[in-house]
Amino acid sequence: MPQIFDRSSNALARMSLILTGLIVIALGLTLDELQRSPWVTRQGQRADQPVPFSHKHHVEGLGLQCQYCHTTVEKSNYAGIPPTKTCMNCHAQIWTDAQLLEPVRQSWATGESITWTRVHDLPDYVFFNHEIHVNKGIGCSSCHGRVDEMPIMYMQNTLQMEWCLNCHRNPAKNLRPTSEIYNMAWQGASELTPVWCAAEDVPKGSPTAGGVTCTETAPGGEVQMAALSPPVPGLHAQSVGVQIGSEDTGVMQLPAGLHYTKFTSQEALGKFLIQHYDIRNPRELTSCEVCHR
Amino acid sequence: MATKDAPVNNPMVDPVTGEYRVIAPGHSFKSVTEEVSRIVLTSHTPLGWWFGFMVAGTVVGILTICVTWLFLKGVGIWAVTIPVAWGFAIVEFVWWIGIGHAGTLISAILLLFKQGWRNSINRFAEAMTIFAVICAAMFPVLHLGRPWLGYWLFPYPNTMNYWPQFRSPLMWDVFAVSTYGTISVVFWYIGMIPDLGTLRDRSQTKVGQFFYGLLAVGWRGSVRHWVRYETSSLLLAGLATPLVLSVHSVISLDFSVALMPGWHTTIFPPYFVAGAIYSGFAMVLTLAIPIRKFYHLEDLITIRHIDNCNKVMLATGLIVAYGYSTEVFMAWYSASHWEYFMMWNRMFGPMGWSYWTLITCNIALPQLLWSRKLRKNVGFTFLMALIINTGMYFERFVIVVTSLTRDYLPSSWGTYRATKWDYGTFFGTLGLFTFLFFLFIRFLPMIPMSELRMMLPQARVREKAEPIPEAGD
Repeated sequence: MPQIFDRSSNALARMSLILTGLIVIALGLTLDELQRSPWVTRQGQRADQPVPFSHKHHVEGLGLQCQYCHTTVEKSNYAGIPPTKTCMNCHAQIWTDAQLLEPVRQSWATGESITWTRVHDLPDYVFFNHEIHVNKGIGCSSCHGRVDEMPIMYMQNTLQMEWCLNCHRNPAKNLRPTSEIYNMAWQGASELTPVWCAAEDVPKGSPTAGGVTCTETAPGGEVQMAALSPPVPGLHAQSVGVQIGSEDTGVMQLPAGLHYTKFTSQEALGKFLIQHYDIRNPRELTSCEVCHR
Repeated sequence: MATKDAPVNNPMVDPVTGEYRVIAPGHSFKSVTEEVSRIVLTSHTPLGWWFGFMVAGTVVGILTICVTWLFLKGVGIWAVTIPVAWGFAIVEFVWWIGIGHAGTLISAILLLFKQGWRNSINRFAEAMTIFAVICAAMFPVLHLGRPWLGYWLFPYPNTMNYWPQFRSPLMWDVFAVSTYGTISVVFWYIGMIPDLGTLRDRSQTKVGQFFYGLLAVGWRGSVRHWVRYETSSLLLAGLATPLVLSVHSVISLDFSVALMPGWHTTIFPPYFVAGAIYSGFAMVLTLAIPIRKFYHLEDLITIRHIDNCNKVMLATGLIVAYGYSTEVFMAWYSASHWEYFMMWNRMFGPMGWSYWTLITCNIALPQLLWSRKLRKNVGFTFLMALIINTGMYFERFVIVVTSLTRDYLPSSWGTYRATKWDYGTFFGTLGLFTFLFFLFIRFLPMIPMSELRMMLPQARVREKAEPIPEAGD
């Protein structure tokens, strides 16, 4: 009787063991990559819009402020999409015959809103609030990227939960003075771009960020170098007597008048702002109910 | 486990030990192999098999409908709501996973204890374990509400940057049940390889030779193969032994970690494990008795097996009874108002009937097993196995449902009335279990031929070679 299985079956059986392992690993890696790919996240995709509105042209070219259109970003969880009226403020006067703007004039004439395609669309079970981020030192470009350089709007980031948590677990690396929120070119504090900040007591009830004054040009008054307590090796900040970051800091005991501290690293600046903006600790910031109410 | 009251002239009784034999006398290596492999290799599938298979298949159809409707509509089609948020699904999960435990006990612990009689029943007891784990594992997933996200239960690198809650017993369940399922399948398959080799060699059809040859992974029965086979069996038995105790302990923690009167008790792990083995042996008997009758396997699954299983049931049943009495005692001894009320509500509340059904089926009636005569009565044993299975179902029902209906706050008390979808899913899993079992007995050797051959007197190795008479003496 002939053999049921050829001699090669032994090699095939051994190979299939290895292959099965490889296939499982490959499948895992593929799914992992796929889930983070723009195909799933729509990161970087330019959606079809009724009007090819260019943020680059309006912000970089013409110098419009973000809040000129997104009026509620500082006082609402929703930044706001401008009504057609905002467009017509200018376009009633200029480019009145442009073919590109036909849907805008149509909307103006009929009163029907322009149906934009939403680019940054979080799932409905995520509660996101623009107000708290903008008032506690997270700038537009931290999440939205260089909108002033986007001819057509797209998502700079994935907006996946891991991306949110990366910041909520360590906000220091993204914090900036509230005066720099709308600065699209903000790079963070460094040796080349130092930041001077001063903190003063604010009366209860007023915005916490109001007590912090920051500037990117060297102020005239006294200047201390930022120091962390305890000093972290490798940080670009030097201790000159004053301790920032612990309870009874020297800042409080200093004579009246603004007393500036120079920050030459983003981490030192972030820690200073976390303290003075009253930003909650990562344990609280990553609690489920912060984003899922 | 000696049973010495049998008449001496009964051929089923070993005259030396006075015990019932594990294998009827007069069997040879060949006859054992033929008796088991004919069931699988026959080209004439018995009509009875087709009938049972069709009935079970129909019930699987009902299960499919129930599960599909559940996926479309959500868990609202079940009776679960507040306060009874855990209903039939969890009852059945615990019930099925408990049933599986007997298979692992027989295949692992009894192997380590060198209980030879286990050899005849371990294969289908292990199959029972696997099918029970399949049925059990369905329920937590169906109960999720969003079953398509069931993979969130596993810790894997994900875009949410979050792990599951490792401090939750529900998380431990995932590991307990998946480990249990994996070990059971591996143990079952490794143990079957010599028999699959036998089937490959005896099969008359090309398809059979190919199919069994593929599964036998080149088994030739060489000494080296046997050494590896024995080593891996022992290793797997060692791995599976702690699982007999750990899996149901972990499942009991789902309850005892919760601050709920009737759940929050330290007696749960041991008493759940005993209950699991109790119900598992009842299920082994429920399956073994009809199968041995239908396929005329009385020579291989003898009264000895039935008697031994009955004794295990009696012993574990008493442990379970001890567990129940401890609960009652602690309800009084704790002097806790809530514990006391929980026990009163269990016994005399609106669902008291379920408690008394449980006591009758699990404690009162099984005391009849003290009688040697009844332990050897096949019909009675079958009936008793069914009663115990019912009783164990009610045990989980009492724990899950009755405790939840009336918790701390009388204003939030409620009741529980299972819907047709609850019943459909439950009977559906019974159908699925039977369906898989029918496939198993038709296509795989349900009694381990190789291990039975080792049980025969012919296989015994003589310690001393007989002196060879020299020529001329």
